[in-house]
Amino acid sequence: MSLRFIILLLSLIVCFSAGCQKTPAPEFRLNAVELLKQERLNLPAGQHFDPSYRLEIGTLLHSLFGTPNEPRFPMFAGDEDPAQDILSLENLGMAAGPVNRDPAGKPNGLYRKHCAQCHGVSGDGRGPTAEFLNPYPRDFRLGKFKFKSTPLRQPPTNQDLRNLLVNGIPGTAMPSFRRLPDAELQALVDYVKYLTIRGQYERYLISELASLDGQPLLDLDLIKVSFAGTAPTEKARAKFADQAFTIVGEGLFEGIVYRWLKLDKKSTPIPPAPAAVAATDVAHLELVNQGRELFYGKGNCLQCHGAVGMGDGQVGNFDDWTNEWIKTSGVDPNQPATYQEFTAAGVLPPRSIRPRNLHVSMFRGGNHPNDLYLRIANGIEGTPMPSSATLTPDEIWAMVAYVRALPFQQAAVTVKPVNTQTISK
Amino acid sequence: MAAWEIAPLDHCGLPLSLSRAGDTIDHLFNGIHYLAAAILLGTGLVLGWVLWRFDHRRNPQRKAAYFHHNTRLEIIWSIIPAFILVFLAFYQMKSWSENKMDRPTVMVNGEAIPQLPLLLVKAKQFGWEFHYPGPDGKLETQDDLYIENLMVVPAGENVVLQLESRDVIHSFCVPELRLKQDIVPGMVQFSWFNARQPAEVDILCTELCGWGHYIMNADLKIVPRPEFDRWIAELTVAQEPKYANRE
Repeated sequence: MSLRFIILLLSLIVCFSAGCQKTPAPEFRLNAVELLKQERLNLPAGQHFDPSYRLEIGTLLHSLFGTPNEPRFPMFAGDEDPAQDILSLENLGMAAGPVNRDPAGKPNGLYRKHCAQCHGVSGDGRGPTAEFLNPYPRDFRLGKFKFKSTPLRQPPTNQDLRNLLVNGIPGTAMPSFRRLPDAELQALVDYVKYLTIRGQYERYLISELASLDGQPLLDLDLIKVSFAGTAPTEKARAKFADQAFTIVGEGLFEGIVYRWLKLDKKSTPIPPAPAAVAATDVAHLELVNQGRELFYGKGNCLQCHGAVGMGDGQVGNFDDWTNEWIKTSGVDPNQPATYQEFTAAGVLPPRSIRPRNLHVSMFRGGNHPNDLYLRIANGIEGTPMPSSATLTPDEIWAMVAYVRALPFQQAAVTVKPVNTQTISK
Repeated sequence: MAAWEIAPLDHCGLPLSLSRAGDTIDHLFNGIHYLAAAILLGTGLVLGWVLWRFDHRRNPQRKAAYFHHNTRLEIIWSIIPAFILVFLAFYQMKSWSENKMDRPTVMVNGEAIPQLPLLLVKAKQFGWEFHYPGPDGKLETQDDLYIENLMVVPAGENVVLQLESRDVIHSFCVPELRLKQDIVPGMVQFSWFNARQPAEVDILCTELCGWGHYIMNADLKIVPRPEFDRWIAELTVAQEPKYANRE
């Protein structure tokens, strides 16, 4: 055997075995942005939390919610476990894990197949493609959803999340998943709820711990023992989780899970529309003009949407996902040097939120009159778009008629001169 | 054997055609395949025979001669392919004009005018929007019906599509209809087909349009006319508000 042959053989072996080593199972990423924010809020400049904080939070989350491959959901004692009303563990199993099919042909890993490339394995909106998209993918961990039928500060209903999956969000990178079977859609909806509740709970924990002024929330002896050089055993984890849950479980239950219950009863009712909302109705123009008066008057829409609704009014605002960290003292969104630490912790460069250009006839939450009614009545969570507490249902319908007619106004609406003095104020 | 593998006798490995235009395209496709297979076989056989017949061992005394410029040969191998290409160019002309140039017409007041589009297709990264005329029967008005990634059309009728792009170049392709049309941003294109029977098939994007190109597909449901009308009525009900003061 010549030397050349041996070298060839060896290099072939190297080539074929490359990529054989097992990739580590993905882990949920700790919310480093929230930690950093709380450090800035609670500690003197330059100081950091004790590393045991991260350990404590990570262990608690792990014992309550499991890992991306084996998700868990905290179960509560009693016959009526509220968790069952929110999501099913079977669905979680279907959406979690690596992309695969079980022997019966049932798919697994749906979240990683369809969602994780943008929304990230942890649901933090930091998937590999996130930085190339505008708007950025949603970070579920804040528990805020824009397009839903429930009022502000209420989680979306099951049907709301399903609608988003089926219809996609026009004008963004969120595509429609209409072709997925019903069971798979529901699995993804449940998994999004799971990631959201997990993320909300994580933020809650971090802020609870931070407010204790460096005192650990839990008796850390349990983990300290098991973490002495080795990974904690399942038994130690379970014991720790038990202890932790009795201390903070109530807060979790009251503060987060309870809000996700019986949501379908909390949807904002949509009252019947006046016939004039239809473009074919004789009184349509009259209603559109009424809506126009409201747009410039009581509704004060022009402040953000601009003098002619081109979305060019107040454009310097940020959405809540950005405001979360940008409001921290010392951060200036126009100077990247001031938020380097946050970028390192995982945020993407801040972008101001643009009010919708109403002339494009493309609305992210849907173009149909009912969708527009909900947007105007309830506002849009996490954005400067407010809910309309002072408008009557009929006034909202008039605005819906105006907003729908705007893109086609050359023919439909007589353009009255706008008082430019009020706009410039 | 070889011919079988190059051109399977049944519609060249494509799914079954659902339209007459598709049949014509299959006919052209098969014809060209068989022609190419025959030429490949013929030239291959001649080459093989020459290698065998003028082998050095078989002709030890003969020496190879080097020559160039054989006018007669060059005229033959130019004229035959030229003739074939000109023949194909004329032979497919009708199919091309039917599929890409002459939009179906309808008679209005004894005058043939191009048929109006049944729906507006807007391609975007990464999905398909389908806009149907609302109760006013006109496209691009405020009461348009709109659905994403599901297109429903009646069977046995000429269907005209208006194709537009919201962002980059896409391509609207339905393999069963042998229909493929690039969609260029800023241009309005029209495409048409006539599906002969109800079916459920896929719409694909066949132009690499970005990272999500692979998920850019939609369902096409071809249904009998009554079912189509019912579907439109249901969509109208679903997308219109409930009216209070309407008789």
